[in-house]
Amino acid sequence: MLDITAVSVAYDEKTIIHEVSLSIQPGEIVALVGPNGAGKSTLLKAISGVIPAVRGQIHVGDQQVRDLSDAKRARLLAVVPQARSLPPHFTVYQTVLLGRTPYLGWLGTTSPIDEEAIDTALTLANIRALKDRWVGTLSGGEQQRVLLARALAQDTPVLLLDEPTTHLDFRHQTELLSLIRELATTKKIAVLMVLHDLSHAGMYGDRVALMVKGEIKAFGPPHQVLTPENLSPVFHVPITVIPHPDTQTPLIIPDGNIYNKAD
Amino acid sequence: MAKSRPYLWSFGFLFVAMTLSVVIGSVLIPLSTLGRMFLHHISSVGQTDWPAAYETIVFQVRLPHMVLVLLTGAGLGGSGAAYQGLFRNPLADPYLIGVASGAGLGAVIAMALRWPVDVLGFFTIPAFAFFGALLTVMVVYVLAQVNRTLPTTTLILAGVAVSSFTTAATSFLLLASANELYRALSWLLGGGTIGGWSPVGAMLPYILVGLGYLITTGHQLNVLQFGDEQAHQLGIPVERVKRLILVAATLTTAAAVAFSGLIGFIGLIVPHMVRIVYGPDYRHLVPLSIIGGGVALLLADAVARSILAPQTLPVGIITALAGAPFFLWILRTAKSNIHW
Amino acid sequence: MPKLFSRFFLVFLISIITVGCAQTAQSDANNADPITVIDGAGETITLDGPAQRVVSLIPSNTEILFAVGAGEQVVGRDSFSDFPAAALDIPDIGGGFGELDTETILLAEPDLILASEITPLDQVEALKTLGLTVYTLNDPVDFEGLFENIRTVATLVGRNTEAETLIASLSTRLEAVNIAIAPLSYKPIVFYELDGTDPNAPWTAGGGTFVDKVIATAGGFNLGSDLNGAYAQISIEEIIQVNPDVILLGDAVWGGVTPEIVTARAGWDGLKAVQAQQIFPFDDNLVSRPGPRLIDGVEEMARLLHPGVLE
Repeated sequence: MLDITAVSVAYDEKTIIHEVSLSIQPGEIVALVGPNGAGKSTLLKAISGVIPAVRGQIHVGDQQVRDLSDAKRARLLAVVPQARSLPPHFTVYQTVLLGRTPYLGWLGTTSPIDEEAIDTALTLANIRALKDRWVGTLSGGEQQRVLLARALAQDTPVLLLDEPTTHLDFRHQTELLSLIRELATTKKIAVLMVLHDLSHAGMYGDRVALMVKGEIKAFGPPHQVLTPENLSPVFHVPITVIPHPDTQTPLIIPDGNIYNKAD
Repeated sequence: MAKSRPYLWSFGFLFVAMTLSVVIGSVLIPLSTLGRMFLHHISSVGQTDWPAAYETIVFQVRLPHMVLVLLTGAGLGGSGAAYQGLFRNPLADPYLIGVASGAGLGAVIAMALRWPVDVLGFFTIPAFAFFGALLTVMVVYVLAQVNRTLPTTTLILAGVAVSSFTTAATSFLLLASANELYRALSWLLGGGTIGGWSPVGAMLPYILVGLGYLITTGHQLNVLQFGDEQAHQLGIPVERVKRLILVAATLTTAAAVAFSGLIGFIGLIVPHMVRIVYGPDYRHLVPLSIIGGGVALLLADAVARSILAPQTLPVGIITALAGAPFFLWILRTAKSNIHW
Repeated sequence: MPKLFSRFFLVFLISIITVGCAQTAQSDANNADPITVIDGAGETITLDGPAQRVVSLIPSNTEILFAVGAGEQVVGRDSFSDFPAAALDIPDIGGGFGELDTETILLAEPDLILASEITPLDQVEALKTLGLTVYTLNDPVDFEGLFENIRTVATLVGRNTEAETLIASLSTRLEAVNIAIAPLSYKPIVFYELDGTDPNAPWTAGGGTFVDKVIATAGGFNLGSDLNGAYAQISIEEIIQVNPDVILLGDAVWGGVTPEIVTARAGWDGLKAVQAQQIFPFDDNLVSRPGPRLIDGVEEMARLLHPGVLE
């Protein structure tokens, strides 16, 4: 569904992203991990059209995304950013409504189809009860789900998420990721999700892409990518990987050795 | 209360304000007579038992003045809302990026040159003010561009810098032309002197087109509140929309200022008041601010004309005197409520 | 329901604007005009007959109107018109903040508005657009010009006989001053202070202005005669250098400046005029209003500069 071929981004002679290629199928979640400054957020921005200086091909289905107008592109790609400094006095409903921007009529009036899409999005994200609450009064987890609902209202085949679990507590992280997993599967959305927690990447990603200094160092199923051989040199920490007792997906923890240095 | 039927209430207030504006004047014309005069004018019904002077006063002096004030207030209110949305800043007003200082400089230049009356006649000052405003904003615009984008921070900074310059130039000219000092100050405080219908006609196209466009940008302004990046991702052609809104708001403000002088606080306070009552949804904030601006300025103008009758105070003094404490009150009571 | 209301309202608004725009300008009555003149601005003014309802926009015009006996024919006057006392009973039509009260002017139903060359052009235009007749009376440059202005105003209000009597009387008085002053060889240097708010750089009248003329006619020499303009600024140093014999305080009435205040000013105490106590308050209205009281001003000043020469 989402095919990125040899995408590069460079500013002033400095290369931020070099020849990145990925492909994501409908219903698949690809987790994008890597150290700070690897260019993960920049890659999302490049895909979603925020950065103009992009070389390479970006396709959604058979459409070349870079040639499209902003509105047309917004029907194919939706982004869930981190929930930070949202305008506090917009209601949840008003915020989710903005997801229908590519479809709204002149003067911003909604059609019954738009209303239905908004309603569906609110239900899927489990925030229908919060519809008329001001966004500023919600918890971090709820705010993140509002942004997720907004992206769902956009009704796109591809969903991009930029570290959606930052600022969320343990419970809300788990809830959100489970929700995304379910939505991807049931609605057949292709999901590219930037995560900082490697174990989450292992649990929720169908495939994992490891990005370092602007390049994809490894791309494949979690147990193949999330190995001590791949991860230790990248994060400069000795790493142990153990399988999850229930799901068998890789759990990444620091080596026991680092606590024994004093000895 | 007003939240449920805002347009009904707004138009209601507007009607009252318009009536008040036509009723108030140095010559006392009873309300019933006014009513009959209007009826007679539209339908030729009824006897004309009022002096001919009343006709001239109402239809050639008060009515055009009322429409002029209404258009000016509407223009300032609407573009104020648009500027606040565009800059995501509660202190943004229509004068932020140089419209006011540019218009002021243009007008003072026209006064200092002692009227090239032959070419432009009595529209010299408004014409110079209008073009002064547009030129200044263009300079700010060019200075604020960063690689083809128009970041709001550079716009504000450039606006402040250029405004300081034009204000200094204006002050210099004011000192240099002592004869015109009084008139210039009066204009700068918001006192246009051209009466009759011709300024209304000259202003109308810009106000209608500008405000007409701004009303349609409500949704886009909502989206812009989430930042340029998210706006892009939601499908708004951000740079183009910003430019268009800027142009429309600037044209509207320049036209308003050109004929009515510099009237402050309307563009700043009216959108805030609307926000407090109705909320931050720009699809309604813009049209309600347009109506609210008209109401506010009509009321201020009525005060300006009656408080020291038969003298007319420049209306900018009233808006400033009323506006400043009002603004402080908003700050205090609605601190947690400022719908931002 | 609200939608219906707003639609109704829009119709209402549009009809107001249409009604206004459909207003045609009032037409002038234009048949067999006994009085046709060209005014100071070059405009041709026609009146059916002598004006019976005059609105004066400047004090000098008001004074001329009353002086030729047309006080009863004045139905409106500007805020500053305060002479003669009878003028204060006539409705005030503004002009204080530069804004004329158009409504009261219209209500007075004037057949003539007497403006001056310093009346803002857009106000003149605004009045004309409302269908009113506006005559612009230019400032005179000399006493002959003043007499001409008196004749012109008299023609407009049908008081020609009274005007000639007035002019004759004024000329006689003026001649008397000229005769008395001519043989005198002593011509005191006069500093006429228009505005002393900044004692280091006060304002005075320049050369060619009426104040200048009055001083000359009264047998004095205007210290500011080298300067340009009706309002010219001069530094205290130049005043000290020239060292005037007499100081006249034109800002005594409006500014409350007294000889004591002047004496106390730093740097002024060394002046001849200060030490000889030749500082006199002067009613500025007598020399700044181009009306019949200019002659009063000449006489008043001659008495101050050359005491005893005039009886």
